[in-house]
Amino acid sequence: MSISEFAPPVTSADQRVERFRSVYDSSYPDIEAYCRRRLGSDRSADAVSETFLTAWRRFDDVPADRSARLWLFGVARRVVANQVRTTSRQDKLHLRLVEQPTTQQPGADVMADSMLEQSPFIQALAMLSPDDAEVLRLVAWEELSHADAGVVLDCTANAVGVRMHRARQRLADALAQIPNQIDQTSPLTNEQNHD
Amino acid sequence: MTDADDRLRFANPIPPSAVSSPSVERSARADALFQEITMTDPNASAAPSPFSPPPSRESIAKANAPRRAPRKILAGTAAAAAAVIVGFGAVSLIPGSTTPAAAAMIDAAQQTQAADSGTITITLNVSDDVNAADSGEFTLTTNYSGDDLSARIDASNEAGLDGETPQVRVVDNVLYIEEGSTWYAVEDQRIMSLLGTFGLPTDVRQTMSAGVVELIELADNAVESADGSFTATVTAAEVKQVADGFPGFGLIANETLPADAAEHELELAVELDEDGLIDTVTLSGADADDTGAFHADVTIDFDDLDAGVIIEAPADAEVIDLDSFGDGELFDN
Repeated sequence: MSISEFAPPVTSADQRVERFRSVYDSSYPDIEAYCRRRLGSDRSADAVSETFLTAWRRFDDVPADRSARLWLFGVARRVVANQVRTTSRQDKLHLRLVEQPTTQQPGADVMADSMLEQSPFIQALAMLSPDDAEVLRLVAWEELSHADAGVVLDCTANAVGVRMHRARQRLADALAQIPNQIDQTSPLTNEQNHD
Repeated sequence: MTDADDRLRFANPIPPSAVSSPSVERSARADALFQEITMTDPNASAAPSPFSPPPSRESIAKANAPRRAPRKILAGTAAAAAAVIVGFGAVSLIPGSTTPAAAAMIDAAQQTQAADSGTITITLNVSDDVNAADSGEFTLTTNYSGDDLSARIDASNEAGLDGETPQVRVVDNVLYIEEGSTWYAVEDQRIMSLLGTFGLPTDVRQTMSAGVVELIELADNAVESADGSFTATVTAAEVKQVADGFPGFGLIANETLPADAAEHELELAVELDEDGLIDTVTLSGADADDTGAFHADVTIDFDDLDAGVIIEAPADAEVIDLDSFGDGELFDN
């Protein structure tokens, strides 16, 4: 049985809006942050809009319980991937983010983007495969459990654990290629009992 | 929990505390977006939307809406059919060492190319979770005999396209176009020069088969997995170089070709028939981002090779004077 089968049918326009409002209000901050973390401030708005518009149009498929948030993460993940792919394959995320205007007063968005630019972890993440980077970010940044990340990635919690293990190893390898910015002896490959 | 996990969390550009307490500006933006979204028709999923990302890939369906008016057929259907066909031509050979299996495959392709008549069916299946309107199945069926041909496209997709395009035939250098129960004939040879600008080949047999031969020649790592069954890989960059514009080939190559992974591999499968000719060629491509959002494959079936396919001119076709269309604008360029 899929999680969508738990969703009650939407019976009227008003009920649809009401239910959508509930899902929207409870999920918007997380989805908005998810998109901004991956695309930066300047490109995240379209992805957020596209994600929620997809939910609005496919609302009968949106789970009624807390799984709605995970369903939206799944949609956002595909929207972000599509935007990265179609905008420009050459315009990698970390390269775009360094183009922030220097004359702008550093608000929260700029500081966040600057953080993306400067952190060796971000540079190392950009060197990983999309799958490896995504599983690390879902757990570390979106603070999802392995089980919840599995829903987003359409795999089991155990598979997430395996992916995390491998991704940490590859992140350690990537960090080793970034000189003089981090303690290279960090025990990145140690296991973590997340769930 | 490790020190590295803590560092990764610390590197979060939007810490959880910032998410739980959004700014006034961000809250206002969220409210405005909610109002915009809920004012849209939830059933208008195929319609363009200001929220939708711009079209990211060409869809052959966009050029092949069924049941056009006669005037549009001339510039639309015939051009679409011609545009479909152009992908088979204009190819270049890429030399390289080949496996014995690859050599056998190439030989079969060249023999297939030599057939004077037959049916070539190209089926493109697209699955796109993000741009759902692009998902669907598109089939181009072409019968050919010498320089004569008949072609029809059958398309169905998530955007609501459903049905066959009018058939196009070329018999003895006369172009015939179907519209409902009526056939129109264009005897004016200028139509051939017009279609030539879209790449309609003067030698259908050679041109249509050449693209397939060229694709197979790329697969120099082929192995024969079973008797008459070959598998190989080709890179998206190779396919793009050889067959950009080919229905399906171009789409697959472009969507699976990240700039930093030109060697991204696509799967090629070739089946031979009992006569040792090409029966089926399948090229499959998945999303290079590996998100599972996009997958497409194109299958080319060869049937009735040298079986004497007959392409007949429709009876009682209404002859069209091209100069009566669009004030002669068809030939302005």
